[in-house]
Amino acid sequence: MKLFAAALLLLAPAVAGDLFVDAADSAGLGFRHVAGAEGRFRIPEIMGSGVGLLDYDGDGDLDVYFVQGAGSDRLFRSRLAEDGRLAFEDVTRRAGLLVETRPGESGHGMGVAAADVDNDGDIDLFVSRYGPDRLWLNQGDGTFREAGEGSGLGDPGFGASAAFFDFDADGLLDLFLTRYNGFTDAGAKQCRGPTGVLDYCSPLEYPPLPDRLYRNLGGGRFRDVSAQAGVDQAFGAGLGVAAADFNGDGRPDLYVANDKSPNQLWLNQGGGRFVDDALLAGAAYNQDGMAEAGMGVTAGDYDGDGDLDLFVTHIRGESSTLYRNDGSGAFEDVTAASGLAAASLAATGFGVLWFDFDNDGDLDLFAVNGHVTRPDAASREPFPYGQPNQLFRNDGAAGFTDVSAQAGPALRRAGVSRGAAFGDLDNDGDIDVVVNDADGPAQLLLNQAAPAARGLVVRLLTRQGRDAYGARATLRRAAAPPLLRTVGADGSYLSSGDPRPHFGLGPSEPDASVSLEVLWPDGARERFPLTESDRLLTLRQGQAVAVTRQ
Amino acid sequence: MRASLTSTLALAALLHPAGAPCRAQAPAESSCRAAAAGLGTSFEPAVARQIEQARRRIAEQEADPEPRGRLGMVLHAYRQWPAAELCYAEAAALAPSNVSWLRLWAMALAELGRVPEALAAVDRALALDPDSLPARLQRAELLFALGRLDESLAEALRARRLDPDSAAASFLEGRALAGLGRVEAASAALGRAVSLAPEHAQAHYALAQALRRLGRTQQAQAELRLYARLGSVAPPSEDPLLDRVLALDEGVGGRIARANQAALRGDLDAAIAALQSALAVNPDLAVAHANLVVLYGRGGDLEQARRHYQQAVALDPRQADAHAAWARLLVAQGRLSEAAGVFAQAVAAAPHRAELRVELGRTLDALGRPAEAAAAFRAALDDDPLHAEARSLLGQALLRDGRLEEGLDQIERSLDSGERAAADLAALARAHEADGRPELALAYARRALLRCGDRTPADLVADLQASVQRLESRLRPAAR
Repeated sequence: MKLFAAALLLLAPAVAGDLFVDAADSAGLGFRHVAGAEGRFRIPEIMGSGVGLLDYDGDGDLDVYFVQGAGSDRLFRSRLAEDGRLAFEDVTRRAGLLVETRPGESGHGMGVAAADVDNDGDIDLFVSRYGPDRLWLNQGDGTFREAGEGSGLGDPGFGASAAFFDFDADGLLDLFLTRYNGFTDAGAKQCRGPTGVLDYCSPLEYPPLPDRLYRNLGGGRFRDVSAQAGVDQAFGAGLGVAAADFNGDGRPDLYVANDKSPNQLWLNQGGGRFVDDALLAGAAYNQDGMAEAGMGVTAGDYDGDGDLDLFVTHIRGESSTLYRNDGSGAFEDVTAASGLAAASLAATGFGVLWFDFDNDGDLDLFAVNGHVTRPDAASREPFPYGQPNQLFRNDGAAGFTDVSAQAGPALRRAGVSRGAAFGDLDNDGDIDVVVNDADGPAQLLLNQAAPAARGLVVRLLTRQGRDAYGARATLRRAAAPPLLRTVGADGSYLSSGDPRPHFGLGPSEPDASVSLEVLWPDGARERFPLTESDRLLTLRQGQAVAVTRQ
Repeated sequence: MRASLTSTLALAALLHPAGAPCRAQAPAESSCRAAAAGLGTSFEPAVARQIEQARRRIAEQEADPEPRGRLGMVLHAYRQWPAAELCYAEAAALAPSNVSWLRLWAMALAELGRVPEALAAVDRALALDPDSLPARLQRAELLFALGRLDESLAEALRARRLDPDSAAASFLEGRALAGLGRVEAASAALGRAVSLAPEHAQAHYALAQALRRLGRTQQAQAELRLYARLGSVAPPSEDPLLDRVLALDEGVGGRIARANQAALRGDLDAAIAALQSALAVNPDLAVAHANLVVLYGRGGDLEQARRHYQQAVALDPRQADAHAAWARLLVAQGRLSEAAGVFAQAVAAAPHRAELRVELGRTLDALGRPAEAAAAFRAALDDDPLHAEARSLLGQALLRDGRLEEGLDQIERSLDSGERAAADLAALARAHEADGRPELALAYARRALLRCGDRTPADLVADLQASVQRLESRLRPAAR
């Protein structure tokens, strides 16, 4: 485990006031996505690919897995120095993850979800694809092996975002996979924009595919239980998914963002059954009853009322949508009142997450953007879909403010951003962002926003020693409102983030009574006393004191 | 990026006080004309011609705002927002008292995400014409998008005063009220909107959400059912200016859209003419040929239908819609073997379209090939497990193939589908009777009769009545 180092950022030339700086080049995160765009306008090209943050070698810092569109995915190992300097090394081949593209192979890498699927203490990888999906089992020695057909996860359809969660509370992480549509290379349609210029087709040109729920049988094997669970009873062109307990009944539910079709809110009924309640719950459509182009989704308690709210990114002209949860699992579209409608109207958003970028205690939003059809039909650029990304600061009752213009040059650059994973890469107590741009270089956006404010990052482990996906952690302090955060790597778009909950603590003020209350996935509650100086903790279920503490 | 899109001319127009005299001086070089010059080279010829003609008029009438606004409208119709915005800005600068250019400029600005500037342009339009209902509605929308809900509400109320019968005004009023947490008042406004425009799907949905928040769940569900029946259709237009812009779309897409509208209202000749005009622009338009297969087939001109089918698949052998349309015509002529082959080509072209597999299965079933039909229906269910018709047909094909248990299971699972229930129950009755279970057969036949309605085929009803009589008489001695 590398030591916490406060705001030491020596790799990228930062200008005072920049909230994020792109340190990909200087840190050696030299990944370039290949969309494979050769003028045929195949749908997978424009959907981009995801990125995963995982500590695959168990050394306490986050490594980065990039899904490649056309070609082999890449794993970059973090060599975080004691002084906080980040440096990455491409270990794809050494880790056994290099996949040579076979002649004539038309698959395309889409999403990634990271989790310890076999409870052996190391993090495995699921990669969704246009083409057969792959499960890579971590062998604990720095290498992975492909689980192959025996895993039960090799769906040949057009897979998109995936979420690991334990829907049946058996201690094994199950998998929900969104699937997009019935595009095939053999049946590809030729579509044109309003001026007659060739362009990517609308998702409605192809039939949507039902999503998949896989039950974990143990040992890296899964079974498709979609029909038994009822999750095949409603579906659209699925892209984003968030797993969380939305109605407070103690069971993990699912929210699926669909492209141009109604979203689903799968409420876990227990007994392995789910029921879609999105329509009556107000989360299927926006406030005008329009099925929007759902891409990325994130669940978090932005208003501090103890329940999980949803934010879904959409296509230009629709604005993104903020659904506020009333605590019972019923939602209200409050996008306009929150100041997010006009600000997101011109953006086509994909990866997104609620996170506290400035460590002030409330959840902000970072959305990555990029068009899906030509905004300027006359453009001569080969891939003219770029747009700047956006950062929205949570100003409490005043709503959200678009602070992208103040965030630095990294947020003024127009890329075709798709996957985005969020996590504390340099273990300095704030959240950084890795972005996978379609047909462009990856971005490593290091957070410099909150040098004065403090952050707390907590790794929560089950009794078996696995990240406690689905656990809810509430930070309680005498002098401040409670902060609810969850454990999980899902949300965003095609990506897998840092599962460790992060709490922004605001400016340092003495607080004698600090504790973390954890509601574990099995329903047990536990309260851990903390100290004011805690920054980076590992807590394990059933152990009253921290396993590691820095 | 945003700053560069704001031409100095546009800024000057923004700063210009509404109604004040304006020196309508044409800029030395029109930014709008220059921006449009880069467009069109790769466009459809008809679109490129339309843009070029509008461009040329600017050069001919440099001091006239109308050609610039007109070019803006053409570009607007094709959603070329940056260039359209420049043109509208120039037109508005040259004709500061023209409400139309200001309103259209605001639309383009809003599309580019420059909502505060759009609001400023609409404010200028309203200063010139305070009684413009579309401008009031536009302002209410923009204020709402900016999160200024109190002002949006006030604007919607002003709009309603101008026209108490405006469904849009009531809808925007209800939406703002709901956002402000005044849910009871919102439900009243939205209720008014749906009574003024019963086809206003968005208002039904918003009303359902308001009713849900008020705890009136049953009423909310009723509104959601109405919403579901209407679908996500756009509300009725209350803006003739925008309608004029959209009518300028002379591209292939616009022509096909007009063909679809004509076909929907049953005007086959107009639909065919619109598609032929699209083909005159682009003869390689496989989708237009495919649509002509349907239209000529509907009109009984099979020779033309065949000709367009051949042209469609010659251009693109993966035209599933063309294959399917021709296969349906073959079915109608009783040429089932040929139809099955063509449906198979449609399925190969679009392997995830469940409805094509169902049609293939039906045709195979009609040819007396139930095992192959069952395989087609199963494949359809793989892609769409909710396809009740596929499940029901699978069950019936399995029964015909002698796979009784499997068939019964599938039909039982499809029974909730409503429309087909009588036929499914009748099939179950027949299967149980054939398998020596007359009690069950009678029960199913009776249930089937109960499900028969106006649209149930008369021969099915007669068949069921005969079955019930036969089974009752067969079971009577046993009952004693």
